[in-house]
Amino acid sequence: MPTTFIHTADWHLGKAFHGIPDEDKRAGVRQARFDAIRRIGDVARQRNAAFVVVAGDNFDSPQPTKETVSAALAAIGSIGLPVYMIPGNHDHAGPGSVWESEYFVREHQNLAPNLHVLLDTSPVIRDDAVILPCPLLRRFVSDDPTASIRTADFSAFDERPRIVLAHGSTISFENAADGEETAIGIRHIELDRMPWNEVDYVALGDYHGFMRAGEKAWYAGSHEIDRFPKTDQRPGHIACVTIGRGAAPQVEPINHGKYRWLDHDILLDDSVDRLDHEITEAANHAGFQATLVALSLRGSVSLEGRRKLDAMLETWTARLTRFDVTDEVLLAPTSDEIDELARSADDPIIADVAGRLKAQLDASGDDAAIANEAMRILYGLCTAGGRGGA
Amino acid sequence: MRIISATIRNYRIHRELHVEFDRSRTLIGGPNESGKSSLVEAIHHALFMKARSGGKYVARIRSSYHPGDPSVTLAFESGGERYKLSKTFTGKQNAAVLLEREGAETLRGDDAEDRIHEICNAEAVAVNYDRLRMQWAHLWVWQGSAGSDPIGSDSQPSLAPTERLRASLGGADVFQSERDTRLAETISAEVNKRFTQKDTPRADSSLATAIAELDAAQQELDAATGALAKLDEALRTIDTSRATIAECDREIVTIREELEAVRLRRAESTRLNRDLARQQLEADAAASAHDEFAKADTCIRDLQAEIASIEEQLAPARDRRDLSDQALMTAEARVTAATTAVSNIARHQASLSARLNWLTTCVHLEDQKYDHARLAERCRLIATARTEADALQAELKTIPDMSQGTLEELEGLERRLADAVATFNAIATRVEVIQSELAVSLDDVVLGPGETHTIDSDSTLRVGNVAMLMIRPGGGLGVDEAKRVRDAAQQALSESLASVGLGSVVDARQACARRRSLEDSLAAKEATVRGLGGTKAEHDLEKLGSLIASLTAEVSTKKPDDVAVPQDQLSATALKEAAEQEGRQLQAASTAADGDLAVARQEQSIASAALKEVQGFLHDAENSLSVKKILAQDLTQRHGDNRAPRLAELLEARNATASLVAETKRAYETIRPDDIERDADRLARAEEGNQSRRGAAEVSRQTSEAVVRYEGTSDPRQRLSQARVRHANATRRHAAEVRQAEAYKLLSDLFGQAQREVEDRFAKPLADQVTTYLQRVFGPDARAVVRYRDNTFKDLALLRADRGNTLEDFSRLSGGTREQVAAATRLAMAELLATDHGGCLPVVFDDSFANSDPERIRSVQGLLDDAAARGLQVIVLSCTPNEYATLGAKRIDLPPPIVRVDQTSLAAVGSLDDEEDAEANMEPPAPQAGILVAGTADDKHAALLAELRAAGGKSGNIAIRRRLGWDEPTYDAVKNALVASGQIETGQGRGGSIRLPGLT
Repeated sequence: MPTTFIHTADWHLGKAFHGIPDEDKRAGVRQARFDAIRRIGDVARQRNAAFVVVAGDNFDSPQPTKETVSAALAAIGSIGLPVYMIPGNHDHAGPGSVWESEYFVREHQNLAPNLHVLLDTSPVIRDDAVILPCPLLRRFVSDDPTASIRTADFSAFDERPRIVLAHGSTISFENAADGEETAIGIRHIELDRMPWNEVDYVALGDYHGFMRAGEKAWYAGSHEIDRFPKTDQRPGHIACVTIGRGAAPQVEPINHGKYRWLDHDILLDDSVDRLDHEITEAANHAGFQATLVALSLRGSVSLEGRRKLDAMLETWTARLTRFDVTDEVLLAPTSDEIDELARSADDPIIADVAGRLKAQLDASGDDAAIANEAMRILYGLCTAGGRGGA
Repeated sequence: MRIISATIRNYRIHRELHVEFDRSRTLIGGPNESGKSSLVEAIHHALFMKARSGGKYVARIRSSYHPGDPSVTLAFESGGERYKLSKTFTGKQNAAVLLEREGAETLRGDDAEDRIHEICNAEAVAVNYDRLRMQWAHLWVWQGSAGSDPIGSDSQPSLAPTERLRASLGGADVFQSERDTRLAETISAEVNKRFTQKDTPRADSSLATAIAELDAAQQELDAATGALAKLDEALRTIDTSRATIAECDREIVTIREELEAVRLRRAESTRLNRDLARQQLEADAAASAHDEFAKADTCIRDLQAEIASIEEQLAPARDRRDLSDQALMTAEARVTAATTAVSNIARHQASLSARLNWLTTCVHLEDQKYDHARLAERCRLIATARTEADALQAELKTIPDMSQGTLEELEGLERRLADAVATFNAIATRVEVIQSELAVSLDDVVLGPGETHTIDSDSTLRVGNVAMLMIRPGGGLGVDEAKRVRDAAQQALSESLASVGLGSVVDARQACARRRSLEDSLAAKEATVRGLGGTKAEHDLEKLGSLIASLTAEVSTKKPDDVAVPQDQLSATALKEAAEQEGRQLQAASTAADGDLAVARQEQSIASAALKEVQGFLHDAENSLSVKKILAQDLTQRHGDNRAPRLAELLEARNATASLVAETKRAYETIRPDDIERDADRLARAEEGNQSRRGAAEVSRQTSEAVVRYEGTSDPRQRLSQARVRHANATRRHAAEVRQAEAYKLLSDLFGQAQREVEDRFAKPLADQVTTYLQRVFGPDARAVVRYRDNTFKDLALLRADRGNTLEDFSRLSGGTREQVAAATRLAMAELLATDHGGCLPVVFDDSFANSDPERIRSVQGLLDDAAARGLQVIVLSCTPNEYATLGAKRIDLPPPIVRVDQTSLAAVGSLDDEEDAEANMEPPAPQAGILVAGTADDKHAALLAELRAAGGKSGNIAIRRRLGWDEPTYDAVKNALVASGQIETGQGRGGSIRLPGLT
């Protein structure tokens, strides 16, 4: 009899998103992570899932605030199915961690009696499955967190399908966004050494995109995107898994997140209008309020193009939930613009200064940046208040 | 524009004066107060002062000498046209102005004024006297202002020439626009908004805010990082503490196990120690028993062996003792025999010795007798010799005592006498009577024939009576001396002979010979006596006699019985020799007997020692034998005869107990009894250390757990994340602000640079033009520098190679040099401005080189000539026109001044050039052109106050100083004194201003 369950991970509840300057927008992004948990219950019921496993990094920190704890447990409680959870590196167990706190224990009882926090490697034996937890008790663990599986006694589990619940990397990848530490070489799970004959599914957490890590091993990814994803990464998913003892698992990725995090690398050639159009198109999918954009701008623009670009950036900064711009656009005033600045022979000093600045735009480093800025200022002063002059 | 002629009437000192100007060079000469300055002022006023100017202005120029309104008629060229301008200054509305142009309509009134204004390119004037005078100030060098800066701040009141010059120099295209200026100001203001004068960020600026925010963000980041680090540290501490506690617990269990082992070892050690003591006693006893028995056994065996040995030695020893007895007896018999022989020989020797002694005495007696006989003979010979000597002695006494010495003395005297006689005879006259018939007498001494007489003094020789001759010997006094010497020698010889009792020297010689012979004989006799021994021999003879007597008595008394007394020396000797022979034989016999005795005694001694030795040995051996026999008997009785089984038994017991001890010892050592207590101490210490370490770890764990205890109020990781983001944002904002601030600075710098460059470019033609003139005076290396800043030319300076090419600011040049540089600058400006005036402008120098030396004045003439050659009209006024002889100018000499003493007001002012009419005198005096500079301090105070009142009660410092014609120090001194005394106040404004008190 196959068993169906929901595999999710990396909720990172309580993550502050300080990169979003606006408080309301920040609160929205934070709240979305709790809302997404509530939707997991709906998905589970739709798929007749028997339970939910969460593969670590449930909280963004081992010491989330009480508000975060209560909100999280309330959301988990709303799922209405058993939820099995291990701590990951972000919310590792151990001294001072939330898991052992009196508050958590109390709210756990009050709000989420369906939650099972697995703080040791004792197997959870259900009628329909056995869950072999590999919780993290430290932030940095150099051993394989699944080492216990290799020595486990599987004889007591008869024909029940076995699920390993673990948190860690299976390959060397980096999650360096948003100021996280890199994860290379730590919590490394050696899938090669897994007793595959005894194990039917390895539910992994740590990598934020949905990904198959081995024949029977998957990362569910983060249920709601929390960072600008790498290329080919599939965040914002949960997995619906069906397993049977000795059978190949059936894993269905479900696009679950609401927010869109878009990472654009644009080479400008004075086509500021086209850029505006592209962002509009991208934002239309989820709406301005659910779209976060990281824009890396390069190339060059004219003075007028720069003026437009500045205005456009100002607009999108206000519209989007988050709008990160890496602005490496060079200023390339056209000869017309320079001439205009100079206003033929009427303003010889301005003309002279504009000429000198243009020469400095080609410099490198800070000098060029300052010259750019100066050119913008000069242009602004000359064009402010109409063509009549400053 | 070129002035052709001027006619002035009723103008100051001039009633009427007509002057025709050269087109290029005019030199107007005339003494002081001849009205030169009035002439050029009149021309200037004709051009720039409106005819309808107020009475105040007209009053200045109205003549005190000549009635009627002042008027000026000026003929000039401009733009190729000829004009005739007539102005009559009435100070009222009826003033007349007429401008005629050839072939054109004549203009009057305001039309004429406007046209003139246009021609002169001047601003509308007659507003104010200062501004009037500043018209063409660059062309018109008023008396006393030649050294003022033609472009500097002194010229500021009139910007008109600057603007005109600016226009001439290139127009608006090279200059900055209004927008340029405005933008530069805006940018400068932005820079000032951000930075202080010291280039530090301004406190209220956005840049300062960004810096502060970045600082705050950095602090928060540090704090958040620190807090998290503390948390992580605490977590690590918990881990390590827990590990330490577990490790200590494990260690403590191990230590306690080891402690139990030590306790067991200690009990075993005690037991073994006790066993060992007991076993050792037993072993000692067994060993002792065995050793004792073994020792006795050995002893018995040894004794038996020794007894056998002694007994074996006893028999030969006894044989030896018997042999020794016999040998001793033999030796003793031989000793007795030898002793007897020796004593016999000794007896014989004693008897022989007595006889020999007696015989020796006998021989000695005979020897003495023989000696006595010989000595007696010698004594007889001595007596004979003495008798002969006595005879000789007696004879010697009869002979005069004439020694050889005495004889030699006599012989000396005799020789001396002979010499004296010879001398005398040689000198004295000898008279010899050979034959005479008559008695011849000399000095009454008759001389017979053949008789010779020596005359040694005047002598009378008489020959009978026939003749009496006086003979006078020669030699004079020498005859007397010779005679005296001769007589003295004769006397000495005679006296010596008499003293020895002899008659002559021959006698003396004989006596001496005899005496010597006798003395020799006597000496021989005495030598004989001495050779025979003399008195000693006789004495010895006597002693020898006594000895013989005593020896004879001794021989008699000691004569042995069996011997007769020898009768002579020979028999005595023979007897003695026989006795001595016998003695020698006896001595040999005695020696032999002594040898025999010694040998016998030696043998006796050897035999005795041998006997004693063998007897001793026998005694000892026998004693020893008996003792050992007793001992052996005793031991045997005690230990029995069959001892071997018992000995074996005892040895076995001994070995058994010893190996037991060794075994126990090994067991004891195996448990290392010495280490037990150390181990116990060590383990106790280790336990204590572990307990203590565990306690510390426990405290550490609890402390750290308190640090990491979940509170749920804030999340340190979120705090750090927030701090990072905030820091990044602050960094970005800071960078943006810095960039913006730097951009404004950059713009400001670029504007400044561009402005300066444009301005420098703008000022360059003027500077170049000035340079061409300057080089006439200061040589080809001189250069003029002029800058254009803030819409004005400024910073006129001179560069000279021979002064190191350092900038010499105009104001710092000497008075003369200032005049020359100013002249060059004016001419250059005039030349540039002349392009708007048909290529010509008049330039007036009124006593403008008063401070220049003759050399420089000559150079200046070249400079002026150049200007004229380039089209300018140069008009020079000088009270020393001859100095300008080389200018080649048209010379016009004004007549000397007319002095009118009835004009008291003139006398008060002291200058006809500055005459004031009665009306003008109603107003405060308006001094001019430095005349009052030479006055008293009070005069100056009054002059400044008057000028200030004339100006409406307030004025700029520069303007009023210029009107007063004072130099800066004079003006400042007067102004400061008045300010100090409260008569004026200082006000605001460029260059400062002064005002009468109460005005604002």
